[in-house]
Amino acid sequence: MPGKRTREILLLVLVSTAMCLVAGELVLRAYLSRHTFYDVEMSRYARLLKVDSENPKIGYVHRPNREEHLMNVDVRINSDGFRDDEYPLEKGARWRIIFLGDSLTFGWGVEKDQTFEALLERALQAKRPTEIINFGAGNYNTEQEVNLFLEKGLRYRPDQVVLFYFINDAEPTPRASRLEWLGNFRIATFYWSRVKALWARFDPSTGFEAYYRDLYRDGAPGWQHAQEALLQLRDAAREHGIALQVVLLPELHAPAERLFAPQYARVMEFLRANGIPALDLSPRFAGETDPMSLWVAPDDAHPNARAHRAIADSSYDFIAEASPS
Amino acid sequence: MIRDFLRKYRWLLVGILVVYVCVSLLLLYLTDSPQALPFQYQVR
Repeated sequence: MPGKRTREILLLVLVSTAMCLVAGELVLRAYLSRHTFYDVEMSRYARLLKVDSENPKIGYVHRPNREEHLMNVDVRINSDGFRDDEYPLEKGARWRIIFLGDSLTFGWGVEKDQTFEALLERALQAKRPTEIINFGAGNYNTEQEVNLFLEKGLRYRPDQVVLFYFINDAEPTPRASRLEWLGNFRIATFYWSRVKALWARFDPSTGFEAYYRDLYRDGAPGWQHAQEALLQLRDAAREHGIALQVVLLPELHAPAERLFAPQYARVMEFLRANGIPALDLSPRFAGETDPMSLWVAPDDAHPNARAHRAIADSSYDFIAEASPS
Repeated sequence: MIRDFLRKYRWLLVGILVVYVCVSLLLLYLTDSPQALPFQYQVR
């Protein structure tokens, strides 16, 4: 049994630490009213706009009819859970395309009218009246994207579906965390992410390069599920007479160095071998020697408005060729 | 009683506060660099 003095010191340490955390939370909230931290914004996105899906292969979906200000831009979710305008299920005369993807397709950190989805929709009008429905959702992998399409996308009777593949699409589908409630505290998100960042600084094997490469190791379950999902999507598209295309989006940490060329080559090889038309945009970004000029923020390597413009320009011909004039 | 308690351990209390602030600032300083982590995020 510890003595009275030891008990007093322990009590003091506990109470003062709790008070420090409360004070830190208040200071951080005050700071974040004028500034943004990527991790805090992603945590807010998850808590404010995502809700569990009944389908475990989808994991979560957007809450319908919600509006939030995230990563310095307004985000409005329509009644079917997409960051887009309202579209009737019944298809009109317009050529209808569905874009599948993750936070890059969602347009994280970019105004809606500056996303590559919106830019392509406007550009494609010159060829024929076209509407694009954006199914992009943050942190989705290919398995989730395909299952969302099978559950919701087919109801829209699209003429064309384009899956925007990113290097982390081979991640396993995330499971609900028992520590999710901690996301209510900015200070918890802040310390969690900063400690991870510090760890990665001293141990490169925990950084993005090693992490993304490891997703494609032989036998990696996420990559296996991604391949199965792509074949499932191909078969569903064939069955319903839908034109299917895949566009590989570049990883923007060092586009000129093409850090993940072998992994993207592996994905392209798989797609070609299975008769899925695909375009890798990475070579078109090889001249970008200032990566951060393409980022949403220094702590967020998502593509900004300039990068979205480049993605739209680079993929226009490929996407347009699937629709009749 | 609380006043006596705080007076008795005031330097320990100050020490804890200083350590907390210093650790927070050091963490902020050491991680103030371009994003080096994958997008992967424990969301749901």
